[in-house]
Order: sequence, then structure tokens, then C-alpha cells
Amino acid sequence: MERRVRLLLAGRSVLPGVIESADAGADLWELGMESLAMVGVMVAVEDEFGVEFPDELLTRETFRSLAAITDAVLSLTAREGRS
Amino acid sequence: MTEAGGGRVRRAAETCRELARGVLAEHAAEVDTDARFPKEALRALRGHGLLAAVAPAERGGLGADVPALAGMAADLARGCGATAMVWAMHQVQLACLLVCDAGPELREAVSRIVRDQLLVASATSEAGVGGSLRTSVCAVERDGSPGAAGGEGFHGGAGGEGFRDVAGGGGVQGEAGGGGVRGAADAVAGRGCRLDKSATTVSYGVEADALLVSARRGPGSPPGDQVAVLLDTARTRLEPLGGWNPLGMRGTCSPALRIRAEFEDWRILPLPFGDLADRVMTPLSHVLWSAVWHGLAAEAADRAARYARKRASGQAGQAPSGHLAEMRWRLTAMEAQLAGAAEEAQAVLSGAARPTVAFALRINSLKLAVSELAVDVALAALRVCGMAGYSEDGPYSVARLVRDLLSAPLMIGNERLVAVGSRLALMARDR
Repeated sequence: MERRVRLLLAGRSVLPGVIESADAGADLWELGMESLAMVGVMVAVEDEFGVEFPDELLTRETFRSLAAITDAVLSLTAREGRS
Repeated sequence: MTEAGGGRVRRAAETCRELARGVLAEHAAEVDTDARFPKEALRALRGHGLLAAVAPAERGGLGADVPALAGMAADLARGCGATAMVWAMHQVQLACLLVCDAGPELREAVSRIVRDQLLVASATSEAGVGGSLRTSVCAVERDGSPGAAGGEGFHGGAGGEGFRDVAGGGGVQGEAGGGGVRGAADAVAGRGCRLDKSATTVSYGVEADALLVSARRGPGSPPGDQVAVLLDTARTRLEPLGGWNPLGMRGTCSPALRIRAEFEDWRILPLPFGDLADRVMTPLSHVLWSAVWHGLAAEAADRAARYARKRASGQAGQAPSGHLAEMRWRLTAMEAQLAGAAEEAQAVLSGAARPTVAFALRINSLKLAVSELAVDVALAALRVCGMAGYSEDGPYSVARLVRDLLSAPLMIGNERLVAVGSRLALMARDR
């Protein structure tokens, strides 16, 4: 799942040259992600995994690292699987 | 807030109203004419413990929550807009410090700011970033690791903690001469860090006791990887890069400044600047600025109503100006939006709610709406009062209020905020 997230962001040119080798826990904000890039990441992840982020997950924390994004996707797919 | 705390805050609010009618109003015209710092008003605010309004009671402050602070800001604005704005900006900087004063030295420095009612300014603007709060050109540099070599070290690790090790090493190398005087522990922590920032607008920076400055984490950091640094102005070189002779808010004394300082590693706030901005700085500044603008607009509307009332008493039967009703509905809209945003900002500040995209959008909308509506109200008041309002003197003058309010759409330019808001609106799920 994390690999899929990484490939997806690399494909969308999020932090090009950095995202490919960033640690799963590395802080993407520190690596140069900007607030306005969040919208691109959100849309890409939603399209790829068929989920929709609720407002309470649309924070800097959710998009802080590949691991955090992956966790959010997992929790959303689990939630939507239940409903 | 406890019941005792609530009583303390209510009394403080009453004090704000008294000071606004007294010392603030008394010096407002001179502060404005001379574009000088409102020192008498700040002395009075300090004397009543009002500079520590946002600090919790257990830290020696008043423990006022965001709605209470907004009320105080609006009340102060009725006496002197510049004083109210200085007070509001100071509360924002203090709130930023209070949410992340981890570590003994930083905590003691913040406690001293609260205890001694020190004035804190911010330097978040910078030449070359196009007005963006979230990017910096200047960077924290370390002794012994200047330039790119030092910068690379900041990205060696996965998290943000790695830089502390770099700082420790740099401090030992760079401060070898001074280390013997201060002892080994000081030498390891080191003064060790430097920054050199050309800020485009620093309100009351020269008059402040401390400065909260944004900068890139290191020379190799991307523009958005920012930290906030608490500087002691007594140990900082401040060089005005221009004069200060603006249309309004003249007492805020906000020229461009070059800021150069050497400082210890602990003065770098542990929370990344982006998180601090999302959670505290942006919401609280937009709420408190909006409260100041609301207070100025309400004062203009009151003067216009008094003027119209006096005219009506002499001309029985003539319909009053439609602007009187227009001012009321605009003020009512502002009040409702401000009250909602203040409650929300309080929830985020206290950690009860998260700073989500929808929240950021509502805070952005508050600033846009109030900065425009307040100007509309002041201009309507000017039309009601006519020449009596246009005059800088007299009980029906709204001239200074209009001039002060014309700064509102520029304090973080509304065009920029509209662009940011539109991006946020693409993401937001809730309204």
C-alpha cells in the first residue's frame, strides 16, 4: 500500500527526485512539500484508492509522511468497507 | 475557564473599555499625527496586566479565551486603532510561544515574557517571497557549518530532531572562545546560531522586547521548511530599511527592518512554523485583527448615528440616511462571523479541534469579509457625517478610523488570500 502511495505521488510529480527515496516516516513538509500541494495529493489519493477524505482528516498531520498518508487510506478503506 | 477566571476576564474587559475611553483616546490623535509608538497606552495596558491576557492563569496571565480576547481587541480599537492592533499582534505572538515552549530555557524565557509583561513583535514578512507567510528566504545558520555543507545535515535523518545534533556540534566548534566563560553546558548548547533577515514590515519591532522570526530551518532547507525563532531584541541588530509614513495605523510603527542576530539553539521553537501557523498564528491573528477592524467600524457607525440623531432633532420629519441601516446590517454580519470564528479558533487553539482545511477556509473568509465590510461601514459613516466626518478633529470625525481601516485589506493582501481560499475551497468537504 505504501509503495502504491509512493508511486502515485512520484507519478504526479510531488517532490520529484525526493519522494522516490524518502523514508516512509520522513516529514514531507520538511522535505519541501508546500501547503498548496496538498490538494494535488488529496485528489490523486482519492482517485487511486476510491476513497474520500472527510474534513477531520484534511490536516497537515494526515499528509505529513508516506506512512501517515498510507494509514489514512487504510483507515478510510476499512471504514468504507464496513459501511 | 473557571468562575474566578471568568470574573477576572470580565474585569479585564471592563478595564479595556475604560482605557480605550481614557489614555488610548487621549493620545490617539498625537500617535497618529506623529506616526509614533503609543507608549502611554502600552504602559497602561502593561500596568493592568493586559499584555499577558492570552497566557493561562497558572502561568501568570489572565487566561482569556479567544472570544474574550476578540472583545477586548474591539473595545481597545474604539480608543486607538494602532494600540489595539499592537496589543492584538502581541497576543498572537505570545499564544504561539505558549503552545510550544518545551525545554527549560525556552519555558523560562516565555515565563519571563508573561511575568514582566514584555512586548513581543513578529517578523514573518520577507523581501523576495511575494508576501507568502509560508516561505522564507533567510535561514538559520550554524557556526562551523556555514553554507550548503551545514544545510545538508538537516536532511540526513527521517525526522526533524536531527538538526539538534548538528547544532550541538556546530556550537562546540564555533564558540570555542566564549565557551570557557560560560561553562561547558553553555558551550555545547552554544550561541551557535545566526540569522540575517530583511523583513518588509515589522510592526513595533524596534519598540518590542522580543521578536518571533520565521526562517528556513537551515541553509539547505526548502523554502517551506520553516522554523520560528524567539529573539531578544536587546541582543539583535535592527536596521530600519526605510521610513514609516503610511496612510493609517501609523502608531504601529511598521517599517522594513533588517534583522541580524546570533542566538542559542533553544530559541528555535520546537513546533515547525507551518504547524504553528495553521494552529495558532493564522487563526488567532485573523480573529483578533478582524476584532480590531470591527471595533473601528463600530466606532465609526456610532459617531455617524450620533451625528444623524443630532441632525434629526433639528429637522423633524426628514427621513434619516439609509446608510444608518446599511451600517447596522454590515456590522451584524461581521459580528456573527467573528463570533463563530472566535469559538472555532478557541477549540483549535486548545487542542479540542483540529486545524482542518474547512477551518482554514472559514478563517480565511473571516479576514476577507471583515476587512472589506469594515471599510464599507467606515465609508458609509463618512457619507453620513459629511464634512464633520471628513475633518480630522471634532466629535463626528471618522477620518482616522477610515484611514486606519484602509489598511485592513492589505494586511496580508486580500488578493493573495482569495487565491489561497480558492485552493482551499477545492479541497474543503465541509463549509
